[in-house]
Amino acid sequence: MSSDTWIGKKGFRYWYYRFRDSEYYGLAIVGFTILICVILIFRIIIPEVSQWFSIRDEVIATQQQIATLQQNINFINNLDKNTLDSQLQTVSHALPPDKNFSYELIALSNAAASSGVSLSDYAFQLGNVASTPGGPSKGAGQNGLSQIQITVTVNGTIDKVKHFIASLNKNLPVSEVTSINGSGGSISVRVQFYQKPFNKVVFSGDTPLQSLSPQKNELLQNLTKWDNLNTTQNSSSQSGSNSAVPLF
Amino acid sequence: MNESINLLEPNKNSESAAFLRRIHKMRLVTIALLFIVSVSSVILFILVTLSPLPALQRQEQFLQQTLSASKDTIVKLSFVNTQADAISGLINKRKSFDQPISLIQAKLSSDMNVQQIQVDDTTVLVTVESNSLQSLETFLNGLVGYVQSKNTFSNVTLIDLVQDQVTNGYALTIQLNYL
Repeated sequence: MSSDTWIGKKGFRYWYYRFRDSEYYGLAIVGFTILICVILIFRIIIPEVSQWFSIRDEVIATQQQIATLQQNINFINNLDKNTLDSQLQTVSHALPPDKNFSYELIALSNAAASSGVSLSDYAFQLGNVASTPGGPSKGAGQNGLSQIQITVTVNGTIDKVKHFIASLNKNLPVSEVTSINGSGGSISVRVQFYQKPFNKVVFSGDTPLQSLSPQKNELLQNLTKWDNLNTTQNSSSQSGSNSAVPLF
Repeated sequence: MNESINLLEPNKNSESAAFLRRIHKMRLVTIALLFIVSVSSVILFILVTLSPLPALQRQEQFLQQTLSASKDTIVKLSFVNTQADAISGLINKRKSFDQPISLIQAKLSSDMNVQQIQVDDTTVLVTVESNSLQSLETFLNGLVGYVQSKNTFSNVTLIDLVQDQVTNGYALTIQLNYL
């Protein structure tokens, strides 16, 4: 509207129409629209985009966790529970989680019986077996292993003592001969047994469960062959102590 | 309208028209921009709202509960793994006394016998007795041969050589250090 002639008071309407008819009106519309766009971009689009990216990352992570969980569930479902129980028993015999002196005595007796030596005249010494309840043993070394040392006097020739040591190495619990000292037919053998409490298991479902490695399976097979504790315990419980075990 | 009475400059009108055309174009561009921004906002809002995350989280929780039912099996498996690692380490570091004793026995002749033997993780101390000095020398040379060929032992030390007047025998004490 041309406002060359205006009759009356020059109020709001006057200035509005004057502004609307000017060339600045178009510029103002453009500027206002750009302002709206900028506000939308900074207040809505950028936060929404960042939220969408974080949601997408979370979705990917959750999908991976679900895949791992499903894999773990399948693994557990396919696992032979009896075999696992048997393996747990074997490793518990090989490396007892608590102090079980009967295992050590049975191992010494079995080794003596199979090598034909006599332990009748024996000296029995226990090493440091003190432990703190709920914590690692006082004598615990690396990896939480505790040691139990037994010095036993073996009556026999050197060949038989060698056989005794070899037999002891193939008996459970796992032991290590740390010294041999003797003369004639009486040789003192210091044997070190080990004990390791079960570690506290902290398991999160998104950690993939893995089966035992072939090396561990082979080791467990060997340990199962060496495990005479079941048969010895069963026979001793059935037939009493009439077996020819020289130690007891 | 009579143009002869137009007091405005003719060029001014054409400049204003060009300016208005530019403004018009800019308006179109900004309206298009506003449209794009608005549509993008709506699309993003829909994408965020319709995210599969809540459903996935519910599924994950369900699977966690399913797996926690097999907690005992997981714990057993972990025990077997950790104990097997420890056992493997113990067996691998276990020193065999069989080999050094066998090596010493291999050099013993029939007229010799072992009077005393002391074996630990660093040395072997052995006392052998014989009536023949020649046999003892052969035995000692045999042990020196192990050291020279770097077989198990790094050092042989002659500790003692004693003659027993009663039995007319000799007792030789030597110390061998492992490699």
